[in-house]
Amino acid sequence: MLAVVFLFTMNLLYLYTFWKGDINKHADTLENLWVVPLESDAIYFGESSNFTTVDGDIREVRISELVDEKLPNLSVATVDNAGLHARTYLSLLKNKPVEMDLKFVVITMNYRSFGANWRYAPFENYLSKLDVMIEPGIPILNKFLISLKQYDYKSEEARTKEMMDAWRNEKFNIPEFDYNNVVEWDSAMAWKTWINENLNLTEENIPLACHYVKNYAIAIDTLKNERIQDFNAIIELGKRDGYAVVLNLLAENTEEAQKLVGKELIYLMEKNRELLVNYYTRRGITVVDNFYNVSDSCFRDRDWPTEHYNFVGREIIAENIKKTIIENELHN
Amino acid sequence: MIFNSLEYILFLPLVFVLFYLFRHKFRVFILLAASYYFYISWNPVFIILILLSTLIDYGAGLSLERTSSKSTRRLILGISICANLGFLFFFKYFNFALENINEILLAVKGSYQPIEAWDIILPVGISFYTFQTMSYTIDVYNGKIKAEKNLSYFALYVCFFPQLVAGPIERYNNLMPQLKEKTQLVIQNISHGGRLILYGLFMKMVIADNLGVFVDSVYGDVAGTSSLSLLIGAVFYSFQIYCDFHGYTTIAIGSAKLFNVNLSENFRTPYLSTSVTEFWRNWHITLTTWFRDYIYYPLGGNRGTILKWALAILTVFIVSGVWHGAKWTFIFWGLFHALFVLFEKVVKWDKQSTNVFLKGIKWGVTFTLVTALWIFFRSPDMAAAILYFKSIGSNWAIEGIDLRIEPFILLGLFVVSDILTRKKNFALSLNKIPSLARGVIYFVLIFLLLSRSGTDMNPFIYFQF
Repeated sequence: MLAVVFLFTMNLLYLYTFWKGDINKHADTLENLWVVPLESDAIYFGESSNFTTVDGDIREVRISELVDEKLPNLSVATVDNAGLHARTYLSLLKNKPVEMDLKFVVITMNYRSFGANWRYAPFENYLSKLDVMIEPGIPILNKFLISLKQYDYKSEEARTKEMMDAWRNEKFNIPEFDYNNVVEWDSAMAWKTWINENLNLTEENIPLACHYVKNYAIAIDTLKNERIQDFNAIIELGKRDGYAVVLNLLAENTEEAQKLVGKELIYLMEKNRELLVNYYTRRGITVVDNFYNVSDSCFRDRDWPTEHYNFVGREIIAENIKKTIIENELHN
Repeated sequence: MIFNSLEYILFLPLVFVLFYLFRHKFRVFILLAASYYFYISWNPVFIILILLSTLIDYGAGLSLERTSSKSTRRLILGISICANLGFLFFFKYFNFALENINEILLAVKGSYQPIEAWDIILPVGISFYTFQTMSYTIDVYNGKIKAEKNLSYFALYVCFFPQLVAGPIERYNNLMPQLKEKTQLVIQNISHGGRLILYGLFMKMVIADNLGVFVDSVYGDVAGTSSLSLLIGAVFYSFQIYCDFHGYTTIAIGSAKLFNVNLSENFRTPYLSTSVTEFWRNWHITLTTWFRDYIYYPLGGNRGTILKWALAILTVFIVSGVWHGAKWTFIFWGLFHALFVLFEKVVKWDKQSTNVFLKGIKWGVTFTLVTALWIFFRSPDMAAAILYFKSIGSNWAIEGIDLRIEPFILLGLFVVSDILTRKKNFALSLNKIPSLARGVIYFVLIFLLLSRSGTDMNPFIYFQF
């Protein structure tokens, strides 16, 4: 009994003293949720695709802000931060104030987040720590747990090994194609033992083409893929808490992928797009399919595959989200 | 498995329950199994090494007792020491030796294809348990103790988990009788053990790990850091390494206390010392006494000529430096400590005085010297250590110190508690104060432990040795 009183008092003291500072240090994205007005109708959860702009943009405005503008009868709030993915959105949603009565949430579905490159990135250490830090429960114990490294902490070497193992063992099937995993395909491209007939491949852009293979050649196992499990958990949470989940499948630079790597990569990307869209629409979830909607000229980054768009690209995505919400009557 | 982990928090009570659940004759096996499990959690492969070391010294002890031939006994002792030092040399010093051989040959020949370093992992605790087993064999050889006939108890002496990976380095005649003693649950020992574990975790997780954040940032960019930050970084490291190691040892002593085993004291407020000589009487006491008994005294100690004594001091401290690691910085660290000890003897620095002002000066000089020498200890190499000293002198123009008040407050709290527990350890010191005050202290310590423990990856510093 004394221990319970001690713990309760300590937790209270912690909340009044150090908790906010610790959230700022270890889980600052939660602060974005704190400023969401309680009367908001929807929240858009995103990563850098939401807020990255391009020099000379017509307007430096987020995708989520454009959605909010396009749905004047709704208030759509934003929670975003660089590098986030479905598991973090899940952790954040678990911290939604009970009084907040949402109609729907828009969850960014970044195709690359299903790949090993992202799933096993060193940044996972920070995101795993964030998940533990904001897990609903006793905040002072959460803090102690992260001091005891009770989260998915791994060294950079261990993460790289996980990544390489996944790239080697997660096999995809492309008809009439010699390679069925990232390691072999990437290696063949890097060492020029595989050259496609595409004349756009040069000495200078082979490294970029290899990045496209590593980022986009993904074998999605719906039973084992961590992102699938995270999105499924978000959907269950939405059912429990009474809001609709809208999955926003972001646009990818398929033009550049075609130009650099060719039809094999596009085949795989299309197969995965179809898998994701069908997997969730069959479960009654609204999916905004933006996959092919943004042209190469709207993508900002030329040395790495990203989902960073200029205003035109962001506007296209926002417009598609708005249409889907209205079509599915989620705004009512 | 490290002491500041959820695994250990679950492991220790489990072992405790099993220990008292079973009769005395089974307890050695429970502790042995727990100790091997504790060691295997680091790296399963290296259990072979500790088993080998155990068997060699167990056999050596028995063989030494069975023969009276001086030459045979010397041979047996030689085999034991060579085996232990051999393991230590291979795993800890082989690549260092190779690196220096390559440099020498390159300097001599001009052009030379260096021999590549081997990919050798240092087994955790090897510097500690090899010294512990060597002390056993040497004591049997010298007739100070009888050889242990029971292999299980001997194995437990080698690998008793609270002190396995970073000491205290226990002597056979202190540890073995306690391991063999038939004991009951003693509530006072549970209480004392718990207090020590709490205080040890506080020192490591709250003080050492938080100071370490600033220290790492300073050492990460010495050339670009202001002189004030470098000075603060040096002082912080002095306390980081103290709280880290003292914290570990305190947890070890507390854990052993739960099983009614009293491990040796390893620290006695060393930073209150007024001489480097006194510092070494109060810092890592079990290692210092090991060197005293097995190197310093056999070399004659202070019984011979001044020159012989000076050579003994230099040998002890250089070996101490080498023991800490295969780097020139550790060797220089040891050498400088030796030189200061010699200097203190020459100028009679340790001469007793009641003059408070003089004592204050001596304390200041000692603390400054010890702190300055820790810079060699912390720096990755000699060039980095020299750069640190140079930068202290030259970076006064660089502004800014990226440091909050919190580490200073925590450090202040620790310094006060260290001074107050100077005469008796933390657990015993608490006996004297009223229950309410004790409750407040527990509350504060647990609150700070839960809320202010460091979150960066900070293994115990002495695990690398």
